[in-house]
Amino acid sequence: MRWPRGLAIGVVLLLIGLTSAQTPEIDTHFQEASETILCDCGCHPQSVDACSCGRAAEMRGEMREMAGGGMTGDEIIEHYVELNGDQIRIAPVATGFNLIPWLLPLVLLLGSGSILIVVIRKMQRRTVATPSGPQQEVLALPDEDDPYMKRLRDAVKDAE
Amino acid sequence: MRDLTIYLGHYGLAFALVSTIWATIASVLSASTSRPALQRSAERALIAAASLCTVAAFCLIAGYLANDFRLDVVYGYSNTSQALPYKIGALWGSQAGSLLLWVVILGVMGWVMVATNRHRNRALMPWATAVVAVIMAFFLYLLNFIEPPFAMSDAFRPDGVGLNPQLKNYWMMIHPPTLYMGYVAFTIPFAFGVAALITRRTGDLWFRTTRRWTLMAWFFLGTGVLLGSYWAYIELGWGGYWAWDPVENASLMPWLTGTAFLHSVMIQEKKGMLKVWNVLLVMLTFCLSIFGTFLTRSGIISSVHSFTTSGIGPAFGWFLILLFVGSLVLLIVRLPDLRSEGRLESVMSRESTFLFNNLVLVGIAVTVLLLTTFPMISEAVTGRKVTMGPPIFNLVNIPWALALLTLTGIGPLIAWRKTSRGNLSRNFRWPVIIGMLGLAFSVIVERAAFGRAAREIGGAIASADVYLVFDELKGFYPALTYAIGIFVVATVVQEYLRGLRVRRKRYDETPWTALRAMIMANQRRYGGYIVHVGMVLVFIGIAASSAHQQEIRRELEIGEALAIEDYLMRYDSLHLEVVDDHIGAVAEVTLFDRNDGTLIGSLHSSQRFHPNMQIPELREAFLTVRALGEAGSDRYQEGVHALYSLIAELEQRVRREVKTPSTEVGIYRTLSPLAGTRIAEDFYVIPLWVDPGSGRASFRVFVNPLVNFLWLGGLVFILGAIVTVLPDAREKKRLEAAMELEDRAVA
Repeated sequence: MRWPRGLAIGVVLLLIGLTSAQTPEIDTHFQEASETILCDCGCHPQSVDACSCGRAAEMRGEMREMAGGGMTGDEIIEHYVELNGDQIRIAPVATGFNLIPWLLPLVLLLGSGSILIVVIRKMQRRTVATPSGPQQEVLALPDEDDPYMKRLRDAVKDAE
Repeated sequence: MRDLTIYLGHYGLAFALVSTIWATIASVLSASTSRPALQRSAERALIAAASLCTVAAFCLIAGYLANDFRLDVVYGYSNTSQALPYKIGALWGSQAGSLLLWVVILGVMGWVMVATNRHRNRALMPWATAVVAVIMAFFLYLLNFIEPPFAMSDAFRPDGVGLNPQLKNYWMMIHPPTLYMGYVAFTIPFAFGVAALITRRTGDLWFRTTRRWTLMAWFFLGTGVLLGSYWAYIELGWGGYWAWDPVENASLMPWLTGTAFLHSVMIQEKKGMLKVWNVLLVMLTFCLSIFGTFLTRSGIISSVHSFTTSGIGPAFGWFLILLFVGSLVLLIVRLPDLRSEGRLESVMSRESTFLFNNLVLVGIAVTVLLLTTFPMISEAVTGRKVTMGPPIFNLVNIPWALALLTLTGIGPLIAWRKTSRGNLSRNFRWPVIIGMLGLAFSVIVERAAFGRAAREIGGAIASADVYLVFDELKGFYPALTYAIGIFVVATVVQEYLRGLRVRRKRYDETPWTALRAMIMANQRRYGGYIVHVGMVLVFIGIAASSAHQQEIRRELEIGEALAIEDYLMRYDSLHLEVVDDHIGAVAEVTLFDRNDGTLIGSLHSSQRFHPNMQIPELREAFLTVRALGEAGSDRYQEGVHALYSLIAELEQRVRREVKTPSTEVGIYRTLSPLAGTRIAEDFYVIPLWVDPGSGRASFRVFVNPLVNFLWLGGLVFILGAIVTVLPDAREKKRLEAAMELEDRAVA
């Protein structure tokens, strides 16, 4: 039986289309997994994607095979987590207790910034203390009510 | 003769320990009984200890040079085929050797401290001497009882194991000593800070006396961090320079708190404020320096740098706790002496911006500390171990870093005490306009990432997925970094131009003379500005090379080519060699412009195998082939192939690796300002594996845009730091005035 020529070309094009559609998907799953999983070579903490050692190359091969076999990025990651525990992830998942390293620094930045503004305002109102140690001499700071300083400040203000 | 050097070193360290113990006792007695003779004796004991430690270090180096494999450290970190510089460098490759280097540097610095304070600071010196002596005594205790560098074995050892191949790099020879100089130099400000608290002399003498020590420590630590990054970039072969390795973090943290101290201490100088904070920062910085050494050497967190593990962890841990808690208790007891002598007059003042700058610097240090130690915290609290890799460090720290960069620009524009509206508008006008133009330009350049982030960030926030939010925010950072960087440079240029204008008007000088005179008249200020420009370049280098790095991995036969970005790389040849202590497969490649085919240049990279010299069969074969090469024999190449086969056969036979692989990166650097889009870009190639028979090789290639801004920024940072450290006549006068004040107070 001879296939009509048009049908044959159509089938070939369809197959090519399917293959090329599948390859980027495999690449995406592979990329997701290799960027998330830690290379277990024991060197510095690098993802399988970033590490240059031989073990990373092996792990990349395993992952590509899994992705080629139809596993998604998440499934590949879960496979490694089941085998090695959470520490095989390059960074902890931002849930539960692990939210601390993700959010605490940002909370610290915003919180401490706000607190510092309050502290500065308090410091503005604070009276000047005299140290109680043996080194009693302090740099003489001009008093706010010093008439000379007041005149000087007014003059500067006028000049501005 | 060999035995003599071993005994000299061994007993030298024992006597050094005794000397430091006496130095501690004598200086404390001198302080409490006011007997200057005892203090002189303590100082001489400290100098004696420093000399003995230095002699011990030379004795150990002599052991390395003589291939005295009876010594455990020489056996473990050197071998007969190790090149001379690496035999000397092996001193700090081992645990015991690095502790010895620490104590030698501290001893020498203690000596300088004694020599420069022979006729001054007599009230502070006994306690400062005691602190330095106690710290030296601790390290000498480790060297005498836990990690003795002169430990020997009677076992037959024809050759040594050798230094880790990754450490056999020129930059690795200077990076650890530089870093150690930084760590150790912070001991002197710490010692004077503690002395000031104990003696209740909490004025500005202690930090004026140690200002140059602090600057020096900060300079060496910063330079050490940069050198370490450069070593990682050219040696580790992953295309990056900073992996947030625990030991890298340990060097960054004291540098950050040290930088905070250098800024906040100016407020104490000018207004007598922040005394508690400054003492706390010095204590924190020193404790973090010790923490760095603890992390490096205890093996508590596994890391590429923790090549060795030993029993020093608990001793270090307890010492660290003792130091920190002891200093803190002392600080709390002395709080009444540390009251502010001035007050803040306005939120819009230089003082306030320095406070924010301190907040951010310490905040980054705390963040890095939290993330570095989080695996231990998580294990203790939840029983689960987690890994803190580079992504979380990058994502979490970038907002802090951008805040810091912004403050770097704002600080110099705001006056001390109070800034009027007129001043604000006058000072900020041009830098803000230029910064805004920079932002517009940056957003255009980064439109793809910026636009995507702007579109997706809303959805990410709505999904409440924390990681996704951080990941989307990433798209804004490069443009923001360039724009803020441009703003900071504009502020620095404006400050320089204003200073120059005033100077030229007043003294009628040429621009060059005025510039030099202006910088020398206020080194700290203008040196600081140069450092700011350096940091901008570093930030831009990091932002661009991280956001736009391109990578490709490809297997090639000889003669085949690969294309990446604007480059076409042709794999020309593979050359096998046996030299020094390794077997190398050197791949030669040629680079062409992908668009017009013009030749750019050629470069080579190699994969090296360092054979295990403890296997007699392999050692003999290696030495034979190397000798064939040196003699120019025709059978040399045949011998190298046979060596590769032997390694493969041995590995199959003993079922473990009999060689340590390493790579030598090939980098084509575009430094010409006329290079257009390629300016400051690196083409970076390493062979992942090679088949010595067929020549087939797998290459990993990176294109790192603007990465050389990072190294250029490092050089600018060093230049600025040198300007601040140079002898400063004004500072000398201030120190003399502070001392006169102190003398009058004591009288």
